[in-house]
Amino acid sequence: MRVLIVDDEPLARRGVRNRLKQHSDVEIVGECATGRAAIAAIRAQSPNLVFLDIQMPDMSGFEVLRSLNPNEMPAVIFLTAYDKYTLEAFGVHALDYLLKPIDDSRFESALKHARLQIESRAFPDLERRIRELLKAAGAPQLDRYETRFSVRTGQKIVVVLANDIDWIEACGDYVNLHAGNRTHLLRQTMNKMESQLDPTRFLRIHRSTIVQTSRIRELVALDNREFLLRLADGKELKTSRSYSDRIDKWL
Amino acid sequence: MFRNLERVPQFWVLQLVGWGAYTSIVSIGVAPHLRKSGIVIVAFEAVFVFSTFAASFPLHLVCRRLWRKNTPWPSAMFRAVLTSGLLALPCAIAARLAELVALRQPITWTSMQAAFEGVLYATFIFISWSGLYFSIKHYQALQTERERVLEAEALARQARLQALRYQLNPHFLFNTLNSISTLVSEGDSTGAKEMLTQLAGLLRSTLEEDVLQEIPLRREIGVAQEYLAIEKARLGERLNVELTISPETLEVLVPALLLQPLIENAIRHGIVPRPEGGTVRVETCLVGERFRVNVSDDGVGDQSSNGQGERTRGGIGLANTIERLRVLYGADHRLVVNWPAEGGCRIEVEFPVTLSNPDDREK
Repeated sequence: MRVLIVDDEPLARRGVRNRLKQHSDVEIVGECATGRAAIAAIRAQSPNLVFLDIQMPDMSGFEVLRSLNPNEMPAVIFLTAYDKYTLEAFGVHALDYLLKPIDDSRFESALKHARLQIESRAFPDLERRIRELLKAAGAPQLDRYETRFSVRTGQKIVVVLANDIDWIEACGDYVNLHAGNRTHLLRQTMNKMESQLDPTRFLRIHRSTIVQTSRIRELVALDNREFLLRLADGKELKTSRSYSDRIDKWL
Repeated sequence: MFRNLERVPQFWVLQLVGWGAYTSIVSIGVAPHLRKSGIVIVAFEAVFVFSTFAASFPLHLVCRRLWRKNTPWPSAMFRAVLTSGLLALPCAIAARLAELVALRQPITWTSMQAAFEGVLYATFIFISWSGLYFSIKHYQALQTERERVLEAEALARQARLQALRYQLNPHFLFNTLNSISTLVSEGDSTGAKEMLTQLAGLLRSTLEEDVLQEIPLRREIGVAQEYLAIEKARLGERLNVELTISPETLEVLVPALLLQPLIENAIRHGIVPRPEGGTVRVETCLVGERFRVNVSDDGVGDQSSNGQGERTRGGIGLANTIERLRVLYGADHRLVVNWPAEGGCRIEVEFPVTLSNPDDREK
């Protein structure tokens, strides 16, 4: 049985390798510390079984599997330290996982189970279950949020990409989209605007201000649970106390 | 209940002291006239003072009723003035009667008209009395309210402190346990014991240390080093650490667990997401009368993503630290987070220097 070990921590990889040593039929074809290396190794070595850490620096274990073609999919035993929701998903899809620190008897039974699947060539079934898990684990739902806004200026319609927006300012019944050194006036309310933007990228900091967090260069804590934000272009924005919970969460 | 018991004597004390003082002033005023008018003026003043004193009790009942019923002030004032006038009438009449008797003059309608002056005077006394009564009541209510607000603030503060108790990141905890498990399975008992001790030290600090207590930086650095040793064992070559601790800052008092969350923030969000790793720098120095600490990393900054399009910076540690600094130093501190364009993240904290007690210092 050809096995690949993927974990970003050297000690964690060693733990798996040590436990595999007792099995003479196991050949360790490689160890990877990153998701990218794992994808390359799976394609190059086509292992039967992969011990796959879920939290890795460059991409998650799920993303590694997501980028594989169906015919490249090996049997997988997931490794995870702590993630309630992921564990529930594993249970639902009857996939094997090991909790860190790894328990020897669980390790053995997971390995036995994987060996059975590989021998019985139950791959299509396994592959289907992994696909289902990936679906449930949620492909980034980018389509839920607007990526572009159409702004009419006189006869022209300008398309403003959400990505280009530095910050948004309320302006009566309109919002002012500040993108680079241009501003675009859009008829929209702040609440509607906020709900259309990806909350992992845009942060409402004030009743009348939304900012794209990647534009923030400096954050100064003020008294009273307020902050002063300095953007890449030097613009200074003050957060309001009533939005301090959101800011705390982001921090 | 207890409060009521406490207040009854207070009413009596004020009542007796007030009227006693009033009686003394009247006596002093009467003294020069004694030779000339003698018994007449004494009879008048004695009856006047005593009857107004007696009338202050029904006045008290009325005022208390107005107060307890929370009567709006224009109406309460009107009723208090009216009651004062009504109570003044019998007092003035009684005093005038006593005066007439002492003068051995007949009691007639005309002779009684001189009581009118007394009515005005007694009304004025009663209005003053009720004015004092309401002022004292207001003052007491204000005091109680102030106490209540202070109590509520103390409770809120306590609740906030409880929420601020810093917790180790569960990922870190379980991954560390996993590393120890590997060391044990390899028979590396020295390495395993070392890591266990470091983890225990760190757990002890997060569980026992009062996060609003201030400890010497020297001790805080110790906690940070325990944490860093574990991270180094886990991340290996990928993690570089540079500590530049100015010796004069070692005895400066800092909030317990100030550094560890900041360093963890830098490692988790700056170093871990980068396959090639990076360097975490901790620098402390004194700037005049202020202590300054810088925690920076050269890893990914805010604008990077971990491939999932997910933001990689942040975490409870930072919000928690910001809140604690606020509670401890109010406006007298500075916290600045900086994401330089070239990547990485730099957090600077500054607050006034307090040195630890020299007797507590370890050699």
